[in-house]
Amino acid sequence: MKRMWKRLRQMYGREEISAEHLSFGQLTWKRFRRDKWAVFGCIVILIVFIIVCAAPVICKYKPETIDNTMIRKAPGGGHILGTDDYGRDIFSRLVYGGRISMTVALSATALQLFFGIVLGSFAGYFGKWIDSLIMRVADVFMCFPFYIIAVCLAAILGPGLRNTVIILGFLGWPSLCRMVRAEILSIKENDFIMAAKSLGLGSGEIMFRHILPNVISPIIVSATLSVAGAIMSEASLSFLNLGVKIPQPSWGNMLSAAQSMNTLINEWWRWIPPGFCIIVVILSINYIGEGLRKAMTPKAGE
Amino acid sequence: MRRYILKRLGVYAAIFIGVTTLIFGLMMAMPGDPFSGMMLDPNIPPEYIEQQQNKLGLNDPVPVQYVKWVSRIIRGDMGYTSDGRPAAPQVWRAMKNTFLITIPSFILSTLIAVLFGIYSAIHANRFFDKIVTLLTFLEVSIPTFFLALTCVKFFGYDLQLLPVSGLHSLTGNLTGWAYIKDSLLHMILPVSILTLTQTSSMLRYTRSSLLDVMGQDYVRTAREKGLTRKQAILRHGVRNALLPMITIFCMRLPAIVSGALFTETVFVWPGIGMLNYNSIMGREYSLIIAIAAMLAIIILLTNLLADILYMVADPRIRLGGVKQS
Repeated sequence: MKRMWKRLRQMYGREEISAEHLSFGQLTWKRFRRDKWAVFGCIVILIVFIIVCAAPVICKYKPETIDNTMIRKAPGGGHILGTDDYGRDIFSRLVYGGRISMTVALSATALQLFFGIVLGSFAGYFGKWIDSLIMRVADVFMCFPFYIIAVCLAAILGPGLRNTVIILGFLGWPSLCRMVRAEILSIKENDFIMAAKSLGLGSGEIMFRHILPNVISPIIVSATLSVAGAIMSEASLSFLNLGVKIPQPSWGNMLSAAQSMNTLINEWWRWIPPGFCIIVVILSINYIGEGLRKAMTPKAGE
Repeated sequence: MRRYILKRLGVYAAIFIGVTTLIFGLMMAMPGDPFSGMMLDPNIPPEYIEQQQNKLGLNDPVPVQYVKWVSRIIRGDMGYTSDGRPAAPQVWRAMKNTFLITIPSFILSTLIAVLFGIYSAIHANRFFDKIVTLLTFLEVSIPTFFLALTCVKFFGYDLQLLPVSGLHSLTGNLTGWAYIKDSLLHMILPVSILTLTQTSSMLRYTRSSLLDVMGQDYVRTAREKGLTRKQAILRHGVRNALLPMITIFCMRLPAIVSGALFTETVFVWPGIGMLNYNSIMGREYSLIIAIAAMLAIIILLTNLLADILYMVADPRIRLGGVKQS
């Protein structure tokens, strides 16, 4: 009997972690560490983050310096990744563009989180007409395909970093709001909430200090995936020249150069590096998100 | 059952009003009307201009304009573009072109997603499943336009195999079978790209919902009664895994109209995505508003379709047993 259990455990490679003395965070980290892909994603993101933070040290040239003698040069001879059609160094544009893309993604996610959590909590906790109102507004927003309305808004507000963050945050909060509301609805009827109410705690305190910490797991997973989605959306908008404005570098607007056949065919160094960076970063973030999801909601035998 | 449908219809009517108000508000916020941009003859008395504006209804109170606009949009009258031609035929023609690439890719991607998803779930964590999971992760991470650009370079230039631009070759005047063959050749690349980028979401949901169902007691009962593992899953499991799959299926339906923006941009395909983008760049407000309103209506209709399909698939909803959130 014992041998059978031992063999089963070996087959599936998952032993239960004895959890008496560990906090939730430590438990989650231990489970997270098991997922090799998630750890790999973490390492990649860390490397990208370090490179991007160390941009002024690594890059020899500034990203916006125009040099008319070195237009469209292939990699080599001082420019690691070549130059674009104004003589700007592609490598430094790549690194600084990473800064901008990640800034946009993190800010947009922060905005989505703020509105999503606050409005979702209000909707879930208070119920009745507040709930209906907020849900109908969220439905209206979710009624549009993202890119159609994003392109419309970008055309009205104009391109630029700040407007892109506003658009992405503005269009992303409804799905988070729904999720928060559903989680809160499932916890609201518990006894400890009734105890808190009878102790006389205010609604805000109950919402944010008692209910929310219990529903934080799916919010964290969703936030991680939102960052990935924001990077993708920012790249897509910038590709259409509706996001970050040239000459500010961003992975998306570096890719928009590839719309001309000449660049696409002959100057691979201008569009393949940013595309590759986008793929690697989004892939890593997705692996991290998947690892977090598995770590925070352990199933038996998984 | 009737009460359920009526309730959902009421919700959708409220959302429809909200959506059209939002679009109409956007339209009012955009600057310009048919007269302000024109270089008018200075001899025209301003009363005449005002009279014309009144006749066109430009000075009506906003709610009246709103009602007039909604009643026209519902009937399919989309106004005129700035060159005087009616907008509706342009929109329909662009729509047909978009359907040429999105409908085949939708059908293909649904088939591939369901079949591969079921197979992946049945043989979970084996080699096939691992490859499929890796591919779905990759697919979410690759921007559509990047994949499209790479295909343009590879298939269009390096291999010179497939045409990469537009719907028809520039050596016009092909008729009959040659015309159809030419269009089909042009369709191959966009359809492939769209299929590749749309498969992953449905595949993952199919796989995960089937995995959830596979752990249920009734599947185990079916096995105890003598069915093989595959029979139990296919006969009892798939039916119950349908509910999340229907959700995703209906959520993907609006992508038939709206999902090809980047593919159309890269392949210069004259579809709704290109029309939307060009009209936004060219400030063709009637087109922008008409396309946005049409998309919103389509999404509401697909949501209604999803609810009806739920009723068909899950008898509990039909009999009023399950509480809706």
